[in-house]
Order: sequence, then structure tokens, then C-alpha cells
Amino acid sequence: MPEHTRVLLIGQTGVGKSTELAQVAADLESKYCILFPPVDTVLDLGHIGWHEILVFSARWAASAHGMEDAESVETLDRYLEEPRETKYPAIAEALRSQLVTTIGGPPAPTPLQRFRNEEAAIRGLIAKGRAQFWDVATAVFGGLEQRMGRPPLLIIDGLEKMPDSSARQLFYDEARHVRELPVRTVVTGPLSMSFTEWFGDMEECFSSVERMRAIPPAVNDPSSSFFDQLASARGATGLISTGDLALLIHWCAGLPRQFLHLLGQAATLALEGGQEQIKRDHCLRAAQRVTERFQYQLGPSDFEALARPDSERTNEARARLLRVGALVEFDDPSGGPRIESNPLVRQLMNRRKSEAPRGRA
Amino acid sequence: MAERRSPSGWFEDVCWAVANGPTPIVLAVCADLTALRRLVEWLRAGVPSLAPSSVREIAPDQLLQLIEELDDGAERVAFVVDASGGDDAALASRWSAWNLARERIREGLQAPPRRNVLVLLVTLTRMEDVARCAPDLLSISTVLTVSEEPFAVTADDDELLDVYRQDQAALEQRYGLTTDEVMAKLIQREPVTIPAEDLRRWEEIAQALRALPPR
Repeated sequence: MPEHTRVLLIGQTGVGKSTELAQVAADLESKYCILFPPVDTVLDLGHIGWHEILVFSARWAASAHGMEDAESVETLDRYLEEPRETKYPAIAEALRSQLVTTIGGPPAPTPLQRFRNEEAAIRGLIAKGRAQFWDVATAVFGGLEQRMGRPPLLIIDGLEKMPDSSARQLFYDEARHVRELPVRTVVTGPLSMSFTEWFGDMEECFSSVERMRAIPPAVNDPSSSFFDQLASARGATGLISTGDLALLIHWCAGLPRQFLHLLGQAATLALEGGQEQIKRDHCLRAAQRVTERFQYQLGPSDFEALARPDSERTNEARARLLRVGALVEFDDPSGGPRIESNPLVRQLMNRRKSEAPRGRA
Repeated sequence: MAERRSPSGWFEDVCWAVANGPTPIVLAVCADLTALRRLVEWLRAGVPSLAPSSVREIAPDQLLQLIEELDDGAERVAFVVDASGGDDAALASRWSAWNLARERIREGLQAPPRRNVLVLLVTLTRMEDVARCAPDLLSISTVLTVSEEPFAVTADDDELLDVYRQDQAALEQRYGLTTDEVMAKLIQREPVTIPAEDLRRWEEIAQALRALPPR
């Protein structure tokens, strides 16, 4: 992993990116100081920029590795404070911690808590001095490398959930900042970007772009054994017949999250019925339950788009259907991607077709 | 908007989803506001009986603040939010905000040791707007369209019907009794010499098939 490694990992939600990243982190822990800041849960993915990501990650890393007393971190904390006008800067600086006294109520927030409390205000603050913030965050990462004795590796997970407009802003309009990132970085992004005309230009800013796709599970397929192992890890072995497990694996469309959702629902239904074994009807009803959300998420235009071959779908329609999981991007054995409808959605489409002649769809 | 099937779950399913379900966010879609209020009462009584936890009803505007301030108390809590209220603009803005903060909500709820659960209640008429404003939140939630009646299979559902019919026939053959006879014995509290596991399965099948005409 050379110094300027900037990896973009794209793939649809539920395909296993986070699991893969956790594995990468475990594998590289001895060589790098792994940083996994919770960017997607603290920053607003609708208005995110590389400066906010870098500054938050630096401050989070400083807290996680006990660097609060480092000079660069103290400087960053000062930058993150709410600016106050004063006529006597020297006195104000000397009395910084004594200027505000509050009695009662919650304590003053720490710099990291400010990100959670006042995300928009912090964003405004960073916008006023982007270069200053970038440089001080870079210094924090430099200090971290010295202290830990190994270079930091920043893993930013969860950005695939960004709205498409924000993804364009971050990955394309602000792409030049990717090259300037001061640490090795692996970042996830939405799959829908890969269908845009600007994706090629954006790719050049990363040292590599990796794409995770679902693997269509089939009998005796290595991916089936992966799902078998997943079921075993969840303690389901022996509770479900091989045939019923194969059915759940078929319905999961190669998406680990969908598989676990199906298995969890089937187990809940078995428990609810007072059964010690998951039976076929529990699996069938679990599939109905997991399909339930699609009935609300998909409208007539979505069903029309689903019925068309992929080459006839618009980019917008494809991106939307991939985002909600109604379409799944598979790894085609012949190489390259293949986009198909989710088997659970296919059931819904078949039902709509059969109900249409009776005037119910 | 797609055709809605009849409810695929009932009130008790929401309790089970809270106690044992695969996701920390459960979205229950009720027929109307009356059913929604009844579901709240059902949850209050049902959830603590399934898992050591309490049910706390909170206002929609409190949700994000509350997630930030969850303490690490010992008791697991099911937070119930009636998220149907307000005019269209208020509903859209609330659900859009939750959609953006979905990961924060999920992680806040799942923080050990308690692993709390959030139950969002919405009426069928508002669900179209909810699905439009919060598509990603729906993707990480268990969505249940519920009624007050337990689940019953319909004649349209061939695959499920076949499974129930086959299992029913197997049980009837094994014990030399019809389903009606067994259920009558149970209602009249007559002794039956059937293993508990099979008896529970038989009850499950009888309940699922109750809406169909007798064979």
C-alpha cells in the first residue's frame, strides 16, 4: 500500500462492503494505525465535503489514540471553537478557559461532541478557513504517525448511502481534494456513480476503484458455502433443513444483509409459532415480510422500469432501483457486471401480473 | 404506488419483531389511527412479556435528541413513536430528517449493553409519503403491515397453502385425527396425547388456514 493510496470501494447497500473493510482492517492492523471514524453517523451525508471528513477524522483519531495534549490537536480544538469578538485578544487568550462560566445544565461540549451537536455550525466554520483546517488536520495525522510508530490508514465507510447529488459534489466537483488527502485512505461510495458520465474523470483521482458485486448463489457454488457459513455462525445449522436453507440462499440474491434478514425473520416466525425448527412456511412468510417494504418503495414507474431490459432503463431509474435493492448487480461468470431484479421483487412482479387480469393491480 | 396486499402480520408480530426481530427499527403500518392506538396498548402489554424490557412512548420531535442522550441504564427499552401526525409538510420534513440520520439512529439504538428498539407507527394513508421521504430508512427497517387479527393464508397464496396443507395432512395421518377434532379437544380442554411440539405446529396450521372454506 504505497503512500498515496486512495481506494474507492463501490457497491450497493448490503453487498458486504463493511464486512470486507473490517477484514482488511484486521489484516493490516500490524502494519498501519487503522482509523475507522464514524463519519456516516456523525456528519450529514447530504452536505459532506472532504474538509469536514478530514477534520472530523483527525479529531476522532486524536481522541481514539490519546493525543489530546498534542500541540496540533490543541490548535485544531481552538479552530473548532465558536469565534468570539474581543477588543483585548491578549487578555482573552490568557483567560480563555475562564471567560465563560455556566452553572447547571449539561457541561460544555468537547470538540468531538460539537460535531454531533452543531454539525452545520462546524461545517460553516470549516468553510471560513478550509486551508487552515486542512493543514492542521494534516499535522494531527503526522503527529499520530510519530506517536504510533506506523502510518495511519483511514477507512471511511458508509458513504454509499449518500444522496446522488451529494455524491456528485463530493466525488466529482471536489475530486481534486482526494489526491491531496494526507493519509492512505479507503472510502466507500454509491454504486450509482458508476453509471454517470463523470465517473471516468473521477476514477483518475483514486489510485484504484474496487467494485463489490453480489455473487449469484447456486447449488454447489462457493458463494453458497459462504452463506452456509454465515447461517452456521448465526447458530442456524440444525434448525433449518438443507432444502429450506438453499431456498433462503436463492432469495437473498447474493446480498449477505438480505440473507440475514430472511433468516432472522424465519427464525422469529418459528419462535412465534412455538417451534424449535424453521419450517418451509416460516421461510415463505419471511420472504413475504422482507418483500413488504418494496411494496411501499416501488411505484408503477419503478415496476415499468423493472420489466424492461437493463439497456433500456434510464440511469436515474437504474440508480434508484439499485439503491432500494430492487435491482442487484451481480458478478457475471463471463466477467463484468450483470444487473437483474432481486428475486423477492420478481415474486412481487409476478403477483402483480397475475392480479392485473382480476383488476387488483 | 403498488397494490397493497392484505396485512401480512398482526399486532403480536410487532411484539415479536421488537423482542427477537433482525433489525433494531420496526416500522408498523396500521389501517387507521384507531388501530394504531390499539397497537400501542398491545405493545405496552406484550413486549415486556416476551423480553425483559419496557415500552416508552415518545413524541416524534424527541427522537433524534433522545438517541443522542441514551444512557447506559440496564433496562432495554422499546421506544414507540406515533409518526403519522402533523400536516404533509411536517411529516415530510420529519421523515426526511430521520432518513438522513438513519445510521445514527440505528447505531444509537444498538449501542451495547441494551440494544434498544425503535417502533415507528404510521397509518396506511400516510405510508406513501413516508416511503417517498425515507426510502433508505425503510431499507434498514422491518416493515410490517399489521392488523388486529392473526395471520391467515388466503386462497391466492398457492405456495404457502400447499405447505400448510401437506403438513396438516401429515399430522392428521400420524395421529388419526382431523384438525377440527384436535382443535375441539383443545377448546374443551380434553386430554390429548400428542407431543407439545406437534400440537403447537397443528395449532399454527389451524390458525393459518382458518379463513379458508373447509375441504
